[in-house]
Amino acid sequence: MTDGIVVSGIGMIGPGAFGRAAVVAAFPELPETGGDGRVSDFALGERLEGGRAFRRVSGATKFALAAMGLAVGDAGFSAQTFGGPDAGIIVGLTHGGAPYSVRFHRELMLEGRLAASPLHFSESVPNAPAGNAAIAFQVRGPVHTLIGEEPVGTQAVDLAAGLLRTGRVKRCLVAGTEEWSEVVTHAYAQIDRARRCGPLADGVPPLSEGAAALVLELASTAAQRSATAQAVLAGWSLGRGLGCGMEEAMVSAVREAFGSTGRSAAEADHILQPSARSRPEAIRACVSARGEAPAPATWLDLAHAVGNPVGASNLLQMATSAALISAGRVEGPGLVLSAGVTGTLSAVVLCRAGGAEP
Amino acid sequence: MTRRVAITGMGVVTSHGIGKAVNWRKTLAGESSIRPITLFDTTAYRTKSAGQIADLPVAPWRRIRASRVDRASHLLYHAAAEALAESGLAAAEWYASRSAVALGTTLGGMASGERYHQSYVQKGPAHARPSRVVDHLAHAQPLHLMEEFSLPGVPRLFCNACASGADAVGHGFGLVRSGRGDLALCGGYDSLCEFAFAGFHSLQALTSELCRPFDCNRSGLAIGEGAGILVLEAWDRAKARGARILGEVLGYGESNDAFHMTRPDPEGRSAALAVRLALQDAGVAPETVGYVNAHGTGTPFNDASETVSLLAALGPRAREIPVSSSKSMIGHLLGGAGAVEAILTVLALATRRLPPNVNYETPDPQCDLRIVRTATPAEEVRVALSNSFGFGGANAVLVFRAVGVDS
Repeated sequence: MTDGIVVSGIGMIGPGAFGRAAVVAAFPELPETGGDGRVSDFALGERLEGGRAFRRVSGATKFALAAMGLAVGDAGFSAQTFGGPDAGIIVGLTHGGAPYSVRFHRELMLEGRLAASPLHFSESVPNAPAGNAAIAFQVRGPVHTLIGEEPVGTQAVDLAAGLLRTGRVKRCLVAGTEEWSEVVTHAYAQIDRARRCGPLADGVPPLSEGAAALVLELASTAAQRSATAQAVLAGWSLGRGLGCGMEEAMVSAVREAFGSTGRSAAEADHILQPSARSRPEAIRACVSARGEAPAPATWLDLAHAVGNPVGASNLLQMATSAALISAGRVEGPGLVLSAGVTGTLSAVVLCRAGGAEP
Repeated sequence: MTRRVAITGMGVVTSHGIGKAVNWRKTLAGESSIRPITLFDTTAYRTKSAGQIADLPVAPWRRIRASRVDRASHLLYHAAAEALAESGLAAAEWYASRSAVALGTTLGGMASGERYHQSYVQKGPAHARPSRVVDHLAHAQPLHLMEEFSLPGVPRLFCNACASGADAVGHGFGLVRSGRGDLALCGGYDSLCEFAFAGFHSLQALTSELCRPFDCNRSGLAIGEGAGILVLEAWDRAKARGARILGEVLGYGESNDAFHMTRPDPEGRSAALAVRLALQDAGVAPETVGYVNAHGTGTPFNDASETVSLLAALGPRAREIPVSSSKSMIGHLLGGAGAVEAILTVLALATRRLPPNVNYETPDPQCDLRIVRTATPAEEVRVALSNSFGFGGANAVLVFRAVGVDS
């Protein structure tokens, strides 16, 4: 038996009241956040020990730090005990702290170079959330930021799993974070209009913001320190489908993700579907992969609840599934599907600890 | 499973020019390609020059409209075209193999983002062209590249600031060595844009004089642009198909300072850890290292910190190892730096010549390393390091070995 990858800590920062407790309470629905897809103002110092030191950082960094703080605490660590050279951080995002980039460029354009704040620049670089998190949790091992579309969360999990399996790290924080930006929202609306050539663009979820973080460990490492495995990351797959090949690529991804778990897609009891852009293809692919007589599954639409926090969406989906499994609201396996507008896609399978032998 | 990893293709574009030949010739000659910036107005800035590529030719895209893609995509195209051609691998072989694409960048297509935002602010949101913002997204450039060259799979894009390119190479190396992949196209890129220039200017990191890595009178970095691409391949596979092996990747070490977003740890503890891990990963002793291609930005903090880290990791012998940085000639290529410098390191090993660290005049007691002042024959050098450090405390170190050396 291969030493599996377990989720030992979960942290979620979503718009409105969206969070772990709300997700568990609202099941089989997802909590309605109402509002505008924005995370309510919060004091980082109240959510993260030493968080006040990061009061000037971008929203994307604050959300990431808060979600990571929750995950680290949930895993039985503190900000002081998590880090070290054998700990890692992988952050996946699409735009990250875009509002700080916009602010820096606007200062530069409208007020001149002397008005352009160096803080707004340094928080504009995509690895600002990961770099600040390394400081907050004193992580001296591998710290990476990956950029991609919605499935970038699965890329982050894949990279973290590689680091855990080679023994480079003993524990790894994997996070997705995104901050809402007026300019990015406008640009996406323009792109959607430009690409609209049929009814599929209707119902595209609004861009939103938030973060999710998971602490990942090898099952043996978690067991050695008597930590609770909240869920098992049993299998995952990344792929790309172009044009009409999207459905076929998603079927392959679902089958490959289940391939190493010893379970079948038909057994999935909850499925988190991707955002509306590729939902019809994903649903058809999922039905196809599950076969003719699947067990009933609860379909959960995160985009309906929180909009689309792009680079954070995939980790929010995984955190939702892990939270439901951990709380015993579902037995698992859960299937998390994600897809981006250029056809990048992923499938992730989460199981109850002890319920899967990957 | 652990396999040897061969480099079978390399492509580079910097302000020296397009291609390895011109880059290596000018690098060995110690020629500076730091020139006045023409891409944007520098009137308001104290610094007026950078490693800007003069007259960058529009890449001959076949599947994508050249006018739609960012300057960064053109850089990437030129470097990838050279590397792929040298490897001799056809698109079908990438599809038939377990292949991966791993790239690194700091700001992706920021120049396009700038133009979009400028229109958004000055003319109104409705007048901003959405085609510009599509190529602003950092993951757009790898996707364009893969479409153009028919490379399969999902790209992995590292954004670890100035260590991005080295991390991408390290990742590709890990995949091939572990047997999870047979082929990897990896490297890094970044184009010059006012956003990044103004950012480093606001941090007071840019020099208005000559960039002088490790010199006592160093006063900051020169920013540049460029791309470097390496094709990595399982050694036995490369040998079996008769590929020309240009060098060998031996090891990769990574760590984080966990100290400050923009300043390196003055004690260089984590950077030293990355060097040690890279050597351990490579399975070679510190005594075997014959050359260090330094990160060497030319800022007071960075060069002093890098010196401390080399001394900590390699011991007093670090003072005897030849060290040079190419940033004084072509500037700091940000996400492209790690990959381009990796290529220069491989070329140094292959040609047995160490490139110079130009503008180095006055030794600094804080940087008491053996700085290479002029191109130097290096018949005995077989193993070399390439250091890359970046914002957010990112540290990446690659270890290379010359071809023809037994494991």
